Amino acid sequence: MKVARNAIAIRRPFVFEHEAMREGCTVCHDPHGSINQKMLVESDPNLCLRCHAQVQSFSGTILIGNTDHTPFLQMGTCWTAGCHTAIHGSNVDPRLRY
Amino acid sequence: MKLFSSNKFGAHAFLFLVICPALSAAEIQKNPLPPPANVKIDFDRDIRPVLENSCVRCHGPLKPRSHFRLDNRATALNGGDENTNDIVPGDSSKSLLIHYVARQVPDMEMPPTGRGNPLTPQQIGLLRAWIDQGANWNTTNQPAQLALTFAPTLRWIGVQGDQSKFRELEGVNDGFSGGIEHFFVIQQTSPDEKFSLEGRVIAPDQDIELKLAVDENNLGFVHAGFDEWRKYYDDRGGYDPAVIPPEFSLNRDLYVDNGRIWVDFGLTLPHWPQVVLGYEYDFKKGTESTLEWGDVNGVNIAPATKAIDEQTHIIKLDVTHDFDNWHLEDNARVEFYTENNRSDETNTWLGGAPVTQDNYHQVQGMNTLMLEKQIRDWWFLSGGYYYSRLEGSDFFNQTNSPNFEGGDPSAWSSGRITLRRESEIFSIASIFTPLDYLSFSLGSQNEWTHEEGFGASVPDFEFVTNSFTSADYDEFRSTQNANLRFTKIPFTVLFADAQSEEEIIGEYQQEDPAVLTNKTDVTSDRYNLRTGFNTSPWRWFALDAQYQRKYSNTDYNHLIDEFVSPFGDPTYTTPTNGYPAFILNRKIQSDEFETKLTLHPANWIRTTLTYQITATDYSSKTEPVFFGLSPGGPILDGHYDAQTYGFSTTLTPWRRFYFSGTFTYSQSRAVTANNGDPSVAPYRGNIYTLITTATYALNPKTDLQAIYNFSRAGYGQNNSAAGVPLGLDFTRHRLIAGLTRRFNARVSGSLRYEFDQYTEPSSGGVNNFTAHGIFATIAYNWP
Repeated sequence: MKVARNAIAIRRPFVFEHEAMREGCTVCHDPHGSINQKMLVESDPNLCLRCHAQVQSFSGTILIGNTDHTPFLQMGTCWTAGCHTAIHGSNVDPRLRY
Repeated sequence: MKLFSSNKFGAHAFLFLVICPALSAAEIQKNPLPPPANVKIDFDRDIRPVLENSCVRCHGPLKPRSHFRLDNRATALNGGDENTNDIVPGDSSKSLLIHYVARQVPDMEMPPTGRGNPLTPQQIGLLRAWIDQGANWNTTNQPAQLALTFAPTLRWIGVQGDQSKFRELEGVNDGFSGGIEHFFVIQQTSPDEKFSLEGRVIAPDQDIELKLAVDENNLGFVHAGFDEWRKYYDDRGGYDPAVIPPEFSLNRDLYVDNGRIWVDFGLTLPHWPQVVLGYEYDFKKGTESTLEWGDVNGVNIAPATKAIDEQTHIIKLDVTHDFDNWHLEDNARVEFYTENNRSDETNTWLGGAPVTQDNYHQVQGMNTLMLEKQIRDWWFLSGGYYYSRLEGSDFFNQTNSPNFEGGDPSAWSSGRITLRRESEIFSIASIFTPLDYLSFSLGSQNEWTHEEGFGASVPDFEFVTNSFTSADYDEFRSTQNANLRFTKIPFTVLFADAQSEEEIIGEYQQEDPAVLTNKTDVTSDRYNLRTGFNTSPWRWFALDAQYQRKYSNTDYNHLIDEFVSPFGDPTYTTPTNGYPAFILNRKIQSDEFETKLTLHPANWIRTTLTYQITATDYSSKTEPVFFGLSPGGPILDGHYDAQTYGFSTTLTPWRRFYFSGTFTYSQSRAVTANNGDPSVAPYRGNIYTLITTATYALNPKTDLQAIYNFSRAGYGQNNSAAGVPLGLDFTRHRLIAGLTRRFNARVSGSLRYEFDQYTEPSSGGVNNFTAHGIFATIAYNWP
């Protein structure tokens, strides 16, 4: 009940929606419980990379969507390092940063 | 999907007796009824258990089938729809109820197949004797006209260490708190009139629950309530030993109050549709911790906050009606949702990073219509249609700091951003039971969704200007279900489920024509297979096992894919390099097996062993990136696997002693294609959990209780040399010891001591706490 009611805000439409939303909440959240905040199944960049990886040409760097994310990944998780904070969707930024 | 029995006592009985009276007599003559029991009937002892166990679930005060009620004598003698001889006092042989429960009337067997076990000849004999003796309702077990429970409570909790972490994990404040743990008042003014009020109020935790109900059978009801609960948040950021200080705190008490107020007015007139008109107001207000991290000198470890203010007004209208063996249900909703949230990604050490404010409003109307019918004994049919339309608008504001991207310190505001969504869903399903030991179901659901968003003036932070934004989204999804259940093998159920889904999406995104243009067609195929069994050949043994596979394959055809960099970087000025349009295909395959063994060798012991293993592979195919940054092609993005072992037991070796314990161990790992970057470490670790409860009845008036819980998680990542350390390590012990004393028939009390210790090495110990609590409750029950 509580989850369903709070989910109203999350399931609202966005101009730029995170595609993972179409596959359901359990792609990233475990409704049975988790040791992580927000019931996330993982609390590190592995949660994002399992869908956003691509073949790299240079070892030791991580290119995501044509942008070298190596220095950003050293500063925390993708959604909590002040970058992709609008993780469910954004009305102003196609990269879900605001 | 709900199953409803048909109007067995009403229209069927009428048609059967009027159209086929000869057949009715012949059926009765061919199958003599069990004889009436030769005993003096005691209603509470002989009849009430039969009615409550086999009849009242469908023929009680709430939506009685065929409007036939068996919860009091007056309505029982009235009979059901168009029928008054279900019970004929003094003559059980003429009472249709007896012929139905004796399963002598085709299509009118009671309880219906699948809705309860047939009555035994002994039970039918008791019912016959009861009717023959006048169908008296001489109960000595009438509900009290007035009953109440009142349980005040007082608590004290002392915390040493991180008090905010304690509040976040426990959901309660430290210090003194108290209120009413539970109160309940019920006034039964007549067999058909009832008033009740119940709830809980604990302050200062804002733990409130109130429910009011006024019910008048065969007329209507008013149900209303209010509930509120508070969620606390830790105000600390992450921990990094390489930074001085290694952790930052906002020194704020962060919490969000969630709640709702609601009222339902119901009309339950006999033979009329049941109508419920309701209103609900939901709210969510406070300040939450949105990020575990923020920006401090390039190392992100500081906390941040988000001020929450969300409100929803809901108006609902529900109509249900049973007619001619059809069940109709219609649910209409209109929701008005407003969100005024403000994210402070800032921290005091930077002096102001972006402050983002979102003012969003939406109105959504939706209606669900559902029809069900038991076409034949072996065929149940249901169908439904859902329509929804949403209109929303948003205003976005952001104030930037000098440190913001591009060094722009200005304030930004959007014009009105409009959003629209329209959805339709049509579904149809059937359940077939051609044989007693075989049932299968088939279902199909088709969904259409159209979404569009538009903003004429939206901040574009890369071009440092306001731009035009537009997005369209069309989706069609078709889902087919098939389920099979086979029970021919003694004491065993075999089952198999299959689901397939096809999805077609067309989407278009545009942000100021020269900046971003994406047009993509998406096609997805998914299936989900599950099969297994459960068997219990002996009373002391049960075994369940099932296997499940999920698979999805999605292709992305990027018809237009353009992105232009604002900074003149040639990397971004070539078509077919927009984000996320570089993904061409994505596959996810997941396999899962789980089994459970239950052993019950004696009355005093019951044990359960469980095991679960799951593995998922994520793979994709991407476009090449220019200048040789990536050759593109297929890649295994990630792999996840986990195993969980469980053991639980319940022991009652002595009449006064009860023990239950559950131990669970799980290990999991998620590994992704990190390309040798040491800052992305595999997410792997173990979790141990132990939950035990023991109760001992010291004497008839006093119970002793002890609870011990232990949990340990090891998912910390010791990679501070390559980046911010992530993951979580913790150990937690929780001990509860208490006693309950019944002072007399109406008054009881409980006293409880709790000890809670939490240590978190992955935060350098800054989140550690030790808590002690005393809880005292007095309960008064009347009568």
